[in-house]
Amino acid sequence: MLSIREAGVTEILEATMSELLQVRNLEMSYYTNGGRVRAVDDVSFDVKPGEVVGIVGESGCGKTAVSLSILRLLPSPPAKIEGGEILFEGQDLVRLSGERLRRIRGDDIAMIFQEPMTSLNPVYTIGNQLIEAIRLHQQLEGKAVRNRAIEMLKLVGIPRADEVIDEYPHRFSGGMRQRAMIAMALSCDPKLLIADEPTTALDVTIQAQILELMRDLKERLHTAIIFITHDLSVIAEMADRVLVMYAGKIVEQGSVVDLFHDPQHPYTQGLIGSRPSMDVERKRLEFIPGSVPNPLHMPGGCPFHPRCPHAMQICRREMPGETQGENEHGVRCWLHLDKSDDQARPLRAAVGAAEE
Amino acid sequence: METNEIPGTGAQSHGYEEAEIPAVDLEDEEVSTGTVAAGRRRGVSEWHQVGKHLLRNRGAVIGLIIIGIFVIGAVFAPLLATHNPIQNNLTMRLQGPSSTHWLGTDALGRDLFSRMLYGSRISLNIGLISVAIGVAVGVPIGAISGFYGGKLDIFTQRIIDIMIAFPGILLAIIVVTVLGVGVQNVMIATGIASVPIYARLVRGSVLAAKEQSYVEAARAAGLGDASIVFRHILPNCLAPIIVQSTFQIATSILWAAGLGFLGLGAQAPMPEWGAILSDGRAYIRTAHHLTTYPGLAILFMVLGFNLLGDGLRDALDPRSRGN
Repeated sequence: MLSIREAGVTEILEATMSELLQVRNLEMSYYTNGGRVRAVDDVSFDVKPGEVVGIVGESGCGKTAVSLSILRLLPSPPAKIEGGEILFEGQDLVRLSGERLRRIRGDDIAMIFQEPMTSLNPVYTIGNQLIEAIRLHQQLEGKAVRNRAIEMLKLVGIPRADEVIDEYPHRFSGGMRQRAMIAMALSCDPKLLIADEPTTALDVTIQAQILELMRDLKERLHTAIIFITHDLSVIAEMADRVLVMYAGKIVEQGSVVDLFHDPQHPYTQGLIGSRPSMDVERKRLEFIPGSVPNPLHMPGGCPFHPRCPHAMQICRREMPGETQGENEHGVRCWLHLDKSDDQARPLRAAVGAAEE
Repeated sequence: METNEIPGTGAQSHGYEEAEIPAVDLEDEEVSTGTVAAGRRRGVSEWHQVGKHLLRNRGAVIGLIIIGIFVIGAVFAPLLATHNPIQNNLTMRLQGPSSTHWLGTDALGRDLFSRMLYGSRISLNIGLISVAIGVAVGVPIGAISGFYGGKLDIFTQRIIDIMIAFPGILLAIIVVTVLGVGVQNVMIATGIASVPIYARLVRGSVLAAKEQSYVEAARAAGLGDASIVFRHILPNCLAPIIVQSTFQIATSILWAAGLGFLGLGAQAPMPEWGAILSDGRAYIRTAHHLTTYPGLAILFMVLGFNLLGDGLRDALDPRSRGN
């Protein structure tokens, strides 16, 4: 690996230019009757072309809120993006609206949802819906559209695609529907695919097939993927890089190997520790005590401190900045700030990370 | 896994110079011509299937037969009528059913059967046109109100509340009073009176449908609001709209009959069912056929539309259609 110091200025410039998606200090809140809920709090990350970025965390930690913010699919009100930018190929999606935003949705950025059973409109055939998606973004006419739709269904491994295309969704199994959703999402060759827990509703064998399919398609089409899940094994299987979110904040990010072999944040350690293991026999699974804090009454300082085994006085008062380790492995925890004050500087904004 | 054998995105794939795109094999050509034919066949069989399912439903068939009889009667009224419906014959007043006057005669000696045949033209028209007005105005109002929500929704719904606070027939009376008496105005009045019902009904269905993830998926695919509402949400609200419409046709016919009864609808000597019923009211003890037959006609037409509506709802839903 090229260390930061060895990289020349031009390479760094190229590296920044080549980012497909740059999320910078994103802040998003829901305004509810009970008050303001900060669903996404100062989140920054990058996605390179062809890269798979996994986002993990417990339910309600803001994974989906991040993905919906990128496509601006949040209903407003109650949701409001309050700060930061989402640069997609240099274009700030936060400031886009109307027609230009719609042109990006489905064309450059596509999304797959958690519930394959309800993500397809029950009153149209699969073909109808695929054709609609293709027509919207591609200059194809008549027969060509239908052929393209059949081609997409074949691509995602649906047998007898030319017959199945005229079936209604209720005759598809969950796995077939998710394949159809993937076909629809990929039909316009998106540069970025956001997959929000695409396998959660499926049983394990189908899960494996869908993951295999997505990996295969990624290799073939070079589509970057943001993969959202609460399943660490799925992340380990799929992702190149992983973001760990807790209470709307990214607490740790790094390559999948670093993160699993050397988790830095107590929360990540807890998550990895609570997985069932095949090698060690245990009577009970490990777990992280407590539960995700009520977003209306977020604890001060680091939101994880009430559940953290290493919590210190300072954790209650202040949220630490990011400590950058080797290989773009970043963590936001006071433990690491104290330990490595000299080598790793806290970074207020992750933008500066690569350049310095 | 099958994924290893599947063909690539082919010629349409662009912008992925590095991607290994498997060559498009000749098989694609065959597939395309085959499926277009299949598609055409399936497009036809789609409506065929709806029809088949409808005909398998006994209630719907009965409804169709009833409506069919009324429609035939209305269309061929001049051929089927045994007498001139507005020809008085004071020597033959208030006759009971007989071989010359199949359903008897009214107080002015007019043939009831002929009058009711012509009357079915008016009643069918009133039912269909007023529902068309109600759907055309009420559905978009309800859809927009439910889809956008917020202040617009509150504002529209309060107006709808005010309209619903009046009984439908009263609302129709108000409209007729403003527009003037006559069959055309009765259609408009009953149409307007059914607008709030559709607006409220559709708003509720849209509120439920817009939370479905296929709506989110459609938005993520880059669809605009208009196509989301009209292509994705409304077709899923079709079942309640259709059912309501069949009830509403029936209700409109009843309202029109009521308006006719009150003298606000069709004017004499026009043979409208409500008006016939109203005229016969005075003779209910001596010549009950003047109220019985028009009453039965209204009852059967309403029943026919309700039965058909029930069957249509099931037949139009691909999920309940099964195989």
